[in-house]
Amino acid sequence: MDGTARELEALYETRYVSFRNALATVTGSRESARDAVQEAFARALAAPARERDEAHLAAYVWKIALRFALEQRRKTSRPPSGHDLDPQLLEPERDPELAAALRELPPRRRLIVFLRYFGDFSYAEIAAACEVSEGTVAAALAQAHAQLRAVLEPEGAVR
Amino acid sequence: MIDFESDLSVRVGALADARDDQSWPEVVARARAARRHRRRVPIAIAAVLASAVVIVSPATSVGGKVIRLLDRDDPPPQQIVESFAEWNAPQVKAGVQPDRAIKVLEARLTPNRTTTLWVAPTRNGGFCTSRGWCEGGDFRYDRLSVGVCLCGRVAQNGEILAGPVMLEGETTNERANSLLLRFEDGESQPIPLVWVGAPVNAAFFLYGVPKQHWQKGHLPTTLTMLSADGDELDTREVHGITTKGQFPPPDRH
Repeated sequence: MDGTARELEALYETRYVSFRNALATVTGSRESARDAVQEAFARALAAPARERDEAHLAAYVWKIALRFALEQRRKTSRPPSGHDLDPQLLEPERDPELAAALRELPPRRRLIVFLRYFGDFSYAEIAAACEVSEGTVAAALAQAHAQLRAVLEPEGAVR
Repeated sequence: MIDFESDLSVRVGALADARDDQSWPEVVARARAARRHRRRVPIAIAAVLASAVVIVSPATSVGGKVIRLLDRDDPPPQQIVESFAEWNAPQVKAGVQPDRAIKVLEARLTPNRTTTLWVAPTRNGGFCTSRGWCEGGDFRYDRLSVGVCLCGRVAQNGEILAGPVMLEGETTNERANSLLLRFEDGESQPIPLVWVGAPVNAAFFLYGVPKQHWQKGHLPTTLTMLSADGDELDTREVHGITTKGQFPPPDRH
């Protein structure tokens, strides 16, 4: 097993659950998210070491998982559209207020929130996963926080 | 804001599924299978790329769209330039070009108040808006993005005490021409969609929801994106305008 493969295994052990939970917001079920995460780590492991993005391993695996999940969904149910990334809380009934507030965020911003809070992604990891700058991540999270705060803490909200 | 982030982290974390069903041996087994089929992967990737080209290729332009072109108007006011320049602060580095900001539209929020939407391009082909968000150069969203701003005061039980209440959003769907907002009481309201030309290539809207439509039975229900031919390109439910009694009183243990 090469060094990156060991890093992959370590990443899997520490981040599997958070990856699955973040991806479940995209796939709509824990089972399909698990399948995508398993497949992503498998594909990363199967890839020649030179093809792996060792500097951004978490983001590299996430992108494989996300692509696999979207491919699977296109094959099964969804009609074609220009963009089908529309992450949602898996069980909105557990916190309807939060679910409603999150629904009001644009999909990309919502995904960044889920990556941050479900996926435990750092700003740098989110930036690499979404292929944007860390500044854009910081700005997106700041905007999301402000928007969520205005809904979740309306008494003190100032826009 | 730090406290809010902590609260949000706890609140979202409470919804996380803690079950740990990981299996590294399964990953290894899948990896072996993937290696066996590796020769097929480039073909699969080529197919995906081919379909992606179809998806992202511009559709035929439809006439009648309201389009604002960059660098055609007078320079933006200094206040706007300075406001956008804040996005270039070291902690944000959005790469915005404040001098190229363009006035996109002006929306009436209340009988006595209007707001103007400004958009400025970024160096990577994205844009920032005066409503406080930026999108990267790869931004593409062909559905209709809809956000609700309860911009005034809201009681803990959900009642909106003061407006404005605003709908806002954007799309990159090149067939998009206008919007139609429908309400619970059967009323409907056309909303203009204003395009900004290259390199932004996105259409925007802002709409101040009138006070009579903050009440149960009169709330907005759906926002439909229409082409110039009247085709319904997308319909989004409008959520987030809260009403009195919507939220139960907090538990008192």
